[in-house]
Amino acid sequence: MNDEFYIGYEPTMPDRMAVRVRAAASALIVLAAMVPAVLLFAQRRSAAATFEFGRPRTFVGTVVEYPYPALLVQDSSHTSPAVYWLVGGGKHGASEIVKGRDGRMMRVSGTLIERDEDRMIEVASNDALVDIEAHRPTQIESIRSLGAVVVRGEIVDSKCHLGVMKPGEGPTHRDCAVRCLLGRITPMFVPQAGDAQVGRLALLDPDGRPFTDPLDTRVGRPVEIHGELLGRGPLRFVAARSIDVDGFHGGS
Amino acid sequence: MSTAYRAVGWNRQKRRYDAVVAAGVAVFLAMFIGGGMLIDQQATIETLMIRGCGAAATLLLHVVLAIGPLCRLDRRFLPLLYNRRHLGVTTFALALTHGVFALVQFHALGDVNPLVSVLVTSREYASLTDFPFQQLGVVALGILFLMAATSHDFWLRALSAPVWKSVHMLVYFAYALVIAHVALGALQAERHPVLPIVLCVGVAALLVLHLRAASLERGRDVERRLQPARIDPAPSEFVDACGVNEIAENRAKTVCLSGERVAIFRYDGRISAVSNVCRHQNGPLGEGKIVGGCIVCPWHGYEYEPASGRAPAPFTERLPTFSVRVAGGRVLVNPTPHPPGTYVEPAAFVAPCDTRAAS
Amino acid sequence: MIRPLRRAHAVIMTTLAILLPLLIAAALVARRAG
Repeated sequence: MNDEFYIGYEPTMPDRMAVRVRAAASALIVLAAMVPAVLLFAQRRSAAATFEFGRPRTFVGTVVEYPYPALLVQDSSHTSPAVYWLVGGGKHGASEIVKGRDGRMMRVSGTLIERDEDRMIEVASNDALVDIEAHRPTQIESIRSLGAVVVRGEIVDSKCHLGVMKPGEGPTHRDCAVRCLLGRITPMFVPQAGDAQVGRLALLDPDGRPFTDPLDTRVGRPVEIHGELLGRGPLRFVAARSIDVDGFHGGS
Repeated sequence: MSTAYRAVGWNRQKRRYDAVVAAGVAVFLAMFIGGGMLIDQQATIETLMIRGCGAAATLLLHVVLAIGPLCRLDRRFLPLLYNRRHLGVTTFALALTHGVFALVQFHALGDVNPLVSVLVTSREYASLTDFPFQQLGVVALGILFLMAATSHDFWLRALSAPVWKSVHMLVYFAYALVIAHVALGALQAERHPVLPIVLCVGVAALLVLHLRAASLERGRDVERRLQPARIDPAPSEFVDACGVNEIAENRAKTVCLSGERVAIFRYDGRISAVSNVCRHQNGPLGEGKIVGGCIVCPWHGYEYEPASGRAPAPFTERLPTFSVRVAGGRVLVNPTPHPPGTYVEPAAFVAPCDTRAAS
Repeated sequence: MIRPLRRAHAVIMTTLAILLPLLIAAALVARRAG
């Protein structure tokens, strides 16, 4: 056996050792480049959704207070107003901000969150909503039933899912979703891919009221909901009579 | 070696070591985050940072755990082991970044303190797929912090080597927690088969390395085990350990006596025998060399005088020594060790013409 | 200190060699469909 001996605090090491150490170091650098490439290959693509952080806009529309805060923005080119859900900053809803303002025409400054045809505005505070003078509050039609439904998909918190976080759904995001729902952000039902019969629906309890139950064991996992489809103006909700986690088996 | 109150003793080797580590981390994160943003235009940087730092920490932890068995299998990997604690501290730093980002992302700006939120939001301990994997990560991070914080030699002395080593054996528990954190977390969300395959390759590689190192060490022990002339040797019985020619000059032969390993050193026409176990971190002194009159441990360079087993001043480590005799070209050792630091007159021998040991 | 440490390694690695593959397999099987 050759007599090479390495003492760590000496500045140089025997040659045969140096060769091996250099080889090991190179191999590790190569590993550091390859492992992330492989992992990236395995990751799901993120949803096409936007959160215009730092770029607030102004919207004009009719405020909806119940069941969940929203703004109906009349676009001259469409007969039916566009729906913008309203949400507060951080993991908080906008219920306090819209309190007592149902039906009022207001100017709203906030940040746009958008995913497919669903839109949301994050409003920072009470001052974000400004009354437009010379407009009397209008009567938005009351909630009406649109028939029974059975749907499969996932319950999410609307703010993260619609664009603030990616992913804004699924098991790894669950803690955040629960936190958001506890902050009274609107819970939303998202149908599974391929289930085109309904779009995203704000979730109500069996009595058609906002959920007070934190839903924590039913968020971020596949569920089957038996309930009633409700509408208020152009807004769409599902009042869930039963929510079964893993209520169905088989592939997505 | 660094003494109690000195900070890191930088030298050229450490600088190069750290440069390679820094380069590796930079390459990993650049690939993951940069590559991630290129491949997926819709990706958010926060998510890529959380995943990237977590993945980097996990890979680094595998490297850290592989170094031990690798050095048992091939001594030429020893330079990787010498500064292994730098890798450990880096692992902790990456894991901390991952944890803090995840904590802020998922638990901040809510109605509850984020540190409380991460511990109370998920509570389904009875389920596997819904298990609070985040809390496994919190505990793993705590262990990594404990080890990073006690990685300096100061703690080795303050706690004593056995206690320090026991604390640092917790790395295996942290490893199990990290694997569970990934299996019950990311693996539940991502479906691509590549992810569990990569995880299994990592776990398997570590298990195989440890198994091979263990069987190699056991083989070496069997090789060295000696049968004394009588079944129950009296305490003063000397046992034939090896031939003088089997020991290279300024090197040692390691033998197993009474279940413990003894390093028999040959130098300047003399033979001394000390415990094979270095006081610092149980390095194999028998694989060391006599340099400048002292036995030097191959792992971290700790030194001991061969005849007394004492570390040179100002150091205070002491090894148990063994009585030796030379008779007829054979080295005889008394298996009963003397108290640590006991001077034993080295056995002199007349060197035959050919002193080179067969390889 | 060698023997307790090597024994500790043996116990730990045996435990991990059994537990970790089981855990990964169980985690994969327990995954929800879809």
